[in-house]
Amino acid sequence: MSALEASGPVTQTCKEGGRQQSSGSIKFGELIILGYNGHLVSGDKGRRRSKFILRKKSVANGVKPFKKHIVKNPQASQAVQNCQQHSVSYTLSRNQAVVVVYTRDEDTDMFQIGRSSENPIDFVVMDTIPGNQRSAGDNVAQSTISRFACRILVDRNPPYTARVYAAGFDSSSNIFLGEKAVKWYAGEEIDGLTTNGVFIMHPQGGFSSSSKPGVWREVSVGGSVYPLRDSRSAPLKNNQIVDEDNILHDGTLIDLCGATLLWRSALGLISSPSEQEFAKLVGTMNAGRPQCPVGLMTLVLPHKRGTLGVVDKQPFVYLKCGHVHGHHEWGQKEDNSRTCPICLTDGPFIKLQMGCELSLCVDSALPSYCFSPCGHMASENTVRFWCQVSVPHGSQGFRALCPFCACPLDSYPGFLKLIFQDHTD
Amino acid sequence: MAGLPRRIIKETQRLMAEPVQGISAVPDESNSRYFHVVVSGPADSPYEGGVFNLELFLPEEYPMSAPKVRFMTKIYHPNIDRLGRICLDILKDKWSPALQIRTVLLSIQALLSAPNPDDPLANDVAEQWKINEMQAIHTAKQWTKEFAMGPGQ
Repeated sequence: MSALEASGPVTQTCKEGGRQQSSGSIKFGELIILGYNGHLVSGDKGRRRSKFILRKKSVANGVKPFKKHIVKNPQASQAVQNCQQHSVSYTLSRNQAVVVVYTRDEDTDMFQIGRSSENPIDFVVMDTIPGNQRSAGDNVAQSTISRFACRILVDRNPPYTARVYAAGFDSSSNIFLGEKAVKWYAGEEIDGLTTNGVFIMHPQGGFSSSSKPGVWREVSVGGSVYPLRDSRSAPLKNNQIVDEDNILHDGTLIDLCGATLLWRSALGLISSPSEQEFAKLVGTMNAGRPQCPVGLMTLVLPHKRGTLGVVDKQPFVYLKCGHVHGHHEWGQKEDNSRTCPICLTDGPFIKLQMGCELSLCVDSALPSYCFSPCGHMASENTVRFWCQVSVPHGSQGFRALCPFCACPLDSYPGFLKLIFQDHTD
Repeated sequence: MAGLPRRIIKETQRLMAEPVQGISAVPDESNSRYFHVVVSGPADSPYEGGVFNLELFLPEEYPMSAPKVRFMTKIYHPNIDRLGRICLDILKDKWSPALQIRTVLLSIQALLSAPNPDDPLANDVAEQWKINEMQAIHTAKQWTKEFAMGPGQ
């Protein structure tokens, strides 16, 4: 028996990319990347996936600021050179830097997120291409997500408070803020912002049907909250908002400039349907035997991702009126719009797809609505919630998008009620 | 019914299982796209008491194009001509594949209750309807008695 085979439990953790995780431990929450319906386009592999579950680590790995030094050359300082020692270097000028040395924090677990596939990154996140622009073998030419974008520290004890900070520690356990990064050193406090910034937004009223979107803020390396800069990487910061903090609430969105993550606390997830509950909801809709008004065949809604193997059972919808049909060729216009046989309204005719990433659902109601123009189905409260959430886009813009495919939503209202011809037999 | 689209089979089955009051449609034994239709004249119309024979044919493109329907029984109506052809928008440009044999026949029954001389097919009948409606209704009743109540019906 080789040494590798002998190390039974170790090989187990290796499968999870060397993470110290076991499925039996306490779940803190989940981070879901907006735009993937439960699955990356290329499939979930190791630390590259559409959703990351944060669990209590077997050994605490959090760190907290300990002391700071002023040095001439941070690269030469002992704290920076020591790979076991976490440190943040703020370069103030060519020959002056402040190095903040971090020490172990037995009370927190740390989870790091970024584009890098190096070991310190727990959750590898790449730029999201909107669903309507995806094609096979797509790759982002230029990424705007930082390799070590942000870190989340979660209290190991109830209520498992989670906090987000800009920037993550690299393989040498360092964070470097170069000469050009926004940083400030006033009194005893030193802090800074990363190039493209880490933004957060707490929906007012939590992740529920009655909540309203909040205001997007920027989080600093030290975890303080600031109003957004004039543009994403502008070199000037505004004044700190002292009555707001970097604590993640159920439904908080984290924007990494290229991908937006949703934080769901373990407790908050209770309001979203489980796989079984959802299959039951879809079963209820299928039990009405919705029919295509033209082909008179029974349509079947899938409760899992992907399209049905059976072509003539696949439901389609007219986006202007919401009438659900099977596929047929009638009423095609030159401009790619179609006439609905039921109400004779002209509009796009698109395939309905189930919104299967259940952590994005605000309630466990029937998925009888869909987003426009992509056709992802969800409950009324879920579509209403996401239609009013503006997500950062480009250097200054914001737009509402379908959380299942990241496709920008039609301006108003961005969703529609599906009208089924069911319970006919 | 080999080779018949499922939609036509389902419609036929439903017509048999749940017939519409005052309407019967039976597929021809040798051609399942050809229906022998009988429509009763609606109450409170000049056609009350009459029994009208029609033929209905589902073309190859059905339901992407409308069924072809024709009155076999002579009828005095401003929107139905001497050859039995019917002037009804849903049989022409307002056709939609969401309509069915059932809805088409119901529309024809409704047309008997509400003649529309402003959109005529039989011009002479429409003219008469506008000039002297009482006389026109009288003629319609006469024709119903003569052609739609005979022993042949």
